[in-house]
Amino acid sequence: MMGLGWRKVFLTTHVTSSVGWLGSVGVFLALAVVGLESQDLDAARSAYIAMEAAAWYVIVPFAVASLATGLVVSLGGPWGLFRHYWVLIKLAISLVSTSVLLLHLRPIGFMAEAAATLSVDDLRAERLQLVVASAGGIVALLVAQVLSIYKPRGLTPYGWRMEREERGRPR
Amino acid sequence: MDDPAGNLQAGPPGMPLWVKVMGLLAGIAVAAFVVAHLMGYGFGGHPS
Repeated sequence: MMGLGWRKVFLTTHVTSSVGWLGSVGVFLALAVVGLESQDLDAARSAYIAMEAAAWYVIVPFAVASLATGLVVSLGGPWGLFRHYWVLIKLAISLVSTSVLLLHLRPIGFMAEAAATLSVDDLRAERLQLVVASAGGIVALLVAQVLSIYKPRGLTPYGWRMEREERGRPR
Repeated sequence: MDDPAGNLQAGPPGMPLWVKVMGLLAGIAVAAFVVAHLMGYGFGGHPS
């Protein structure tokens, strides 16, 4: 198991990147709503250009850092990765959210390129999708934050076996 | 007995209710996503 000093370093990085990920997706959602609903074409166009920069330089680094440090903290700490349902579900949320984010990078780039010639009624379905995807991301990341704080009870069958084995070992 | 949280009962634990509820909600979200794509909402592949 990892030493307490390193665990705190990774935990601090994990919490910071996770909260940063949530906040940056919030900004992305606000820009996506401006891009969808604003009647000011300059504002809408600027929003899609800003969204591409935010996605590549803020959201992706936070997502990758959160996922990587989450793996280190859980595997190097007392919780484990597969022992508790709340850790397992957080891992699933991080994996799915990061995958959805990476899958959306090309559409986001497409919208940033299309922004120069965008009119109010162009690409409505695609613009709506960016709003819905980022709103869904916020919900998923909020659930992950709640799980981190409340740590609801529930051992997986694997976790139960491991705890029994550890209790049976001579100390 | 050193299991005040009640995690270590006699047999393997069943899946907690909160996990089942979350699984159900996730299933509904995935179904909504699939239906939305089948109905033609979203990028539908043309930019990606």
